[in-house]
Amino acid sequence: MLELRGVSVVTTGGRAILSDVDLEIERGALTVVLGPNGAGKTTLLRVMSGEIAPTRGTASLEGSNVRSYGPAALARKRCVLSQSRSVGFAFTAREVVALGRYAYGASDVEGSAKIDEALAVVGALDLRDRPYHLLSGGEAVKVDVARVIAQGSSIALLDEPTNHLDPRVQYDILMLFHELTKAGLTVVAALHDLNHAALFADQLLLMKDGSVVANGAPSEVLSQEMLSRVYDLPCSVARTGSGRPLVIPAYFSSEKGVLDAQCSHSPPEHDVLLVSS
Amino acid sequence: MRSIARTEAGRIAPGVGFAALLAALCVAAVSAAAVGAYTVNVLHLTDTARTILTDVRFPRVVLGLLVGSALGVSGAALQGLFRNPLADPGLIGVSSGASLGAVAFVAIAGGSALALTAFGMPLAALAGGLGVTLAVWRIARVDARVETATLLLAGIALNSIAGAIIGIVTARSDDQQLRTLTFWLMGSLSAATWQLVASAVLPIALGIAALMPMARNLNALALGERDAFHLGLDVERCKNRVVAASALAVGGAVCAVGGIAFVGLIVPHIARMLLGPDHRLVLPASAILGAILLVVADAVARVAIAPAELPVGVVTALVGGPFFLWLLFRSRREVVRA
Repeated sequence: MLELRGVSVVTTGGRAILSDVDLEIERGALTVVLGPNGAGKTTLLRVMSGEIAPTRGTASLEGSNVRSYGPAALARKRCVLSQSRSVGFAFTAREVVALGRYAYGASDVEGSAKIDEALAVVGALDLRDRPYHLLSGGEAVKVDVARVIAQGSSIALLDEPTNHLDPRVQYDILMLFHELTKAGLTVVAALHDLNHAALFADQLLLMKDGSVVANGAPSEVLSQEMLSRVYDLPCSVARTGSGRPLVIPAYFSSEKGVLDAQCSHSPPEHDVLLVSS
Repeated sequence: MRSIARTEAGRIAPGVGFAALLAALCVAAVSAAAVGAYTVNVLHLTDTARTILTDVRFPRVVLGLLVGSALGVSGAALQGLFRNPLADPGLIGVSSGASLGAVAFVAIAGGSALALTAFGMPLAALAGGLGVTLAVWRIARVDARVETATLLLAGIALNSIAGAIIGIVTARSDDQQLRTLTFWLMGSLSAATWQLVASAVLPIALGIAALMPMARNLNALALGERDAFHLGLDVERCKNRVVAASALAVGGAVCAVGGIAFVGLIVPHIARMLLGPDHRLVLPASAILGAILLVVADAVARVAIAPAELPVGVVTALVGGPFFLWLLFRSRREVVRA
């Protein structure tokens, strides 16, 4: 499906952003990429999307180098929800979703149906004639997600799709993509919320300084030691009744709610909570 | 109840809009041919009147239509490319380059026989316009990619260099040259002949023909270059084509009539206000609106201080400046007060 072999990305100034990344994305799964700011999550997604060519190594999509596809052919195979999005000029929400059909050319017979279907899937049919630039953050992200769905590709690359959203909208967006994976979509999402990752990920990649330091199921990757090492954040990891990890940063269990006295390199001793569901 | 002429987003329905625009275009063209310093009575056409119509007014109206549509379409395409409603065809250096070419030609070939041919100055202007745009484009090109921000900044830098050279040349010109230059720098259709129309029609028609099919691509670019690529747009190819085609159309326009302010800037705004931001409507509407605006402005320029004439650039700037301020105040009403 989507495979990276020995991928390194080095800037023209010689700074390594990705170092020798090897990974395989499972078809029909929701893969979450975690890691601190600057770990290389966005660059990893940009390599996967064919936007940048790796300095060394290859990214391949369905057996062929991602960079060997033309822009339109690539757009029919993968869609991308960028981290920051904006629309120039006063397009309506439906017109923005219609842009998702760009790769299908001017005579796109099923386009109109796909656009309305995508608006319905995200629950944004009522926004269709509203100018995009006047939408709230939560409304705008629904329209952006509808645009990405209307593109009709089998892989969705999402760069921090829950940024700046209220908890309910964050949950709705992740739940939607979780359900779309059940219908066969392959999703790769860079996230920051460890518990969202624990809840929604089928496969979890943990990155630090341009390398993938852990790759597996959330229950294997989200350990106290690993998180302390990668994030320099003391925390406890509890288990829910179903065995899902639940990450609790140390400031919740420290008396004064402050981190300053905590040793930042070796994880402090904490009670491990047992949560039943 | 909502009117059949308006869609829900407050726009005019495309069919109604284009019918109205085409009707207005016909009215503008016919009235522009009818007015002028010499009063033409259509019912009793004298030989003089006939000559004035066919040799003076018709070529002038046709040139106005051509140049106006070139400026309108290029302005709309460049605003789409830069995602910036303040972009103007002049930004990529084509206008100042063409002025530089024309000024250099007048200064060098001044009283020579070459200067007397109708093709000399337009060709020098076209060469200057395309040359400076090419320089701007080369400066902004890094590893086969054109940096849009650098393109804008390089355009500003080369515009000011061209402006400085024009200043030096005009400072050294004699009175006759100065008069030609001033009129040309302000923009004027007064030199219109069928010969001049013939020299401008090819670059303008080619430029517009190359821009029209770019409408869907410009729509995709509304999401920004990265997301446009994600949608499947070949971004670099689109950029190169829009810059080249705009340079050709505007170069053809400027070489025939000089620099005309504000048409390329305000016409796309009016088109978007009427029909919405879809470039499949905005590009053709800008062509028609640009043609209307320039032909009407030129008619005003001819009659305002008759029998003398104003440069048409003065009229468009006089209309365009206040219109732009109105746009500014209008958009301010939308925000929540601090």
